Amino acid sequence: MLVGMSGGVDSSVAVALLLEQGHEVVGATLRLGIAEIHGRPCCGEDGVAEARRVAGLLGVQHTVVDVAEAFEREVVTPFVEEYATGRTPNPCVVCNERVKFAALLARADALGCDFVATGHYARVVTTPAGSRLVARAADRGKDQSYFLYRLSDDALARTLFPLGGMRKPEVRARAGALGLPVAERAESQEVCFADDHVALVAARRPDAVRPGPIETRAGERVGSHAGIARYTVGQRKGLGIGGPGGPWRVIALDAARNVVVVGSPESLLARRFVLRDAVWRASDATARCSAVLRYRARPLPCEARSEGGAVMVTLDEPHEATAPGQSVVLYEDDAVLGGGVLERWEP
Amino acid sequence: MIGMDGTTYLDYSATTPVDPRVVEAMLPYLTERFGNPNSLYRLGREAHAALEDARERVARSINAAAASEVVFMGCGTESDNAAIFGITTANGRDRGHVVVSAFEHHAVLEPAHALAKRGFEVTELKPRPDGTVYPEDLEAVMRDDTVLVSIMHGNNEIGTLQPISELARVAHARGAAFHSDAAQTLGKVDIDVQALGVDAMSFSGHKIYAPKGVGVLYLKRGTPFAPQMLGGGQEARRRSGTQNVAGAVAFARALEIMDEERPTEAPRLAALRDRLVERLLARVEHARLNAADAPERLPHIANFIIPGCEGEAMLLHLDAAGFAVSTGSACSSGSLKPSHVLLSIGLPPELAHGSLRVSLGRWSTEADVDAFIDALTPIVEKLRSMNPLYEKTIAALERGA
Repeated sequence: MLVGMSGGVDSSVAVALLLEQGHEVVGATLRLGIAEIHGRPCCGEDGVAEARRVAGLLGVQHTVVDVAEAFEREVVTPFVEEYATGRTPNPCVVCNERVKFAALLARADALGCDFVATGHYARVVTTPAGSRLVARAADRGKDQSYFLYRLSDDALARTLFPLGGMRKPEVRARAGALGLPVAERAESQEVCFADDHVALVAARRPDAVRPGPIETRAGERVGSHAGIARYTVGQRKGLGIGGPGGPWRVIALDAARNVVVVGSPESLLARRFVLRDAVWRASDATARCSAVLRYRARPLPCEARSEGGAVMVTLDEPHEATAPGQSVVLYEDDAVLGGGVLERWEP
Repeated sequence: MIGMDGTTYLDYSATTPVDPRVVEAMLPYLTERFGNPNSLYRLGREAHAALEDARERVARSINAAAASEVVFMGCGTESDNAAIFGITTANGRDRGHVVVSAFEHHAVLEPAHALAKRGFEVTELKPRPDGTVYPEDLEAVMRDDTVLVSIMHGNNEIGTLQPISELARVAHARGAAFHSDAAQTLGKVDIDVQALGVDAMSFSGHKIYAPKGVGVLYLKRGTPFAPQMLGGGQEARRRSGTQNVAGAVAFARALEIMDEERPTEAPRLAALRDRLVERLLARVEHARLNAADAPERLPHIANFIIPGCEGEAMLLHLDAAGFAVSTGSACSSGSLKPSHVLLSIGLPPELAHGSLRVSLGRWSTEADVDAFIDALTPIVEKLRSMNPLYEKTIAALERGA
């Protein structure tokens, strides 16, 4: 079994649990090349050393997989492009699917490992029809199923999440008892390669931080902005405008015209959401389910319909929309039925 | 040799255990004779005498014209870095042409890449498929503004020896200095820096049964050189920093033992290697020896391609079975890029992924070699049986061959 190790408490405990269960474990740490992106030494390289140390403590073999090229191509470059086109990306979602799990599964094949495992807080459930779905972890506060919704049935058939049934305090206690490090690494909902996404976007796409006008939907100029990459749909603070018509909210980012469009909070209310690059695991083309519009957001009852590569979501009640580029994940009870990247929304 | 943890160690090119005779020689300089060799009182003078004695013994071994041409450094990588940066940037130079071979150790390649970023032009000269850099190939890339040529003496992955004296002549004919990384060859073959005609040569202690953390740069008198470590001006201003006296003593003693034992040890290792190659190729179907046609090679390294098996997978299984070998070089095993050495001699990447390097040393025995092959054979069978592409790989290989 190949276990992704970051050097942090969660993946270290995952390894220990798998060993206790009698599995043969090889640890693997992905080198994402983050130091090269920052231009200074960073957590990524520490993670390799720390994971190697933990592997030594637990007596498991350890290998490093260099995925810097794939990380740049699949995660960092699209991240910058998304911001430059007025969207707000979710890099962890893409990274899990196209970099982390892709690399771990490929490495597992090469090394002759049957399964891969990670320290994510999530579970895998099997449907009556025999397919596998990602599901919420027992620890709701730590649940990471949102970030894993794109994993395929094939991937899930070979994936274990040993922490899925545990709560964080139990994991910490286990780590303490085993003499493992209990320090936290960066949580996976943060963007690990950019403390300040604006600086990264500015360095690669200076056009996305050009100043421009803030306008209403009707085209009335109400202020000026410092570059669309600094804004996200739904944003209320930092607009630098007030006065009549307020309070203002960002309701759209028009990259082609370099305009930040603002409107009233009510103009963000939406019922219909169109998701592209969609994942759909339900047996029928339509399903009653609940939609999670962003990480940690409250699930909203809805009806979802799969249409080609897209999914249309209709909420029972209108709700404040999230930014295009964010993933909307669909759950039936705790199981992930599907999801996709928000393309647009309608009232 | 079977180590204390039961591991059969067959990775002497990665590092060596410190010979007990070397430990004995160096110990006093860690304890009672601990002085700083640059201090004027008796303790300092003792340390200084030991350091200079070590320098002379190293100089004698490599036939340097003067002991002062031996500069002690922190490791082989530092020695390579010092040579590459020190020679090219001497006297304030900030441009020019540099030639390195494409299968150098990263300790040479990375400084060369850094020079390229600073405005130098760098040519990476490919060896031929026999793992040898040919003098006429070097001749073809030399330019009037070539400042430095750096070509390793013996390759760390495939063990091929390079015709250093001819290569140095080619470099000198065009006015360039010549450096050679000899970390893998020191002590294993006769090294006479004057006969080889090099201006600089790099050595590492932990490849010759001295500890990690000591290296040597041979720097021929008169070679332009800008020191890379600045400070108190030790080592005749070529490498500042208080000298590692115990390390230098260990280096000298280790080299002496290598020299004394080479007449019997080199043929013993060559015979052991031949046994390994012969038996492995007989037992493991489709296995190949890399750079098999090399005109000259080190006695202790054999590098194989085992088609249908990934190098790292073999390594992990062999580790579990108690054998230490490597795939690619130890420094690059952190990544899964195929070895740049194997690519440089024309191996396709899919084959280069399946390489295995076995390197023998002072405590290797026939029993080690035989046990290794007995362990490897079922591992290869297992990995191949799990590889869905195995039949295809072999068919493609046979078409290619």
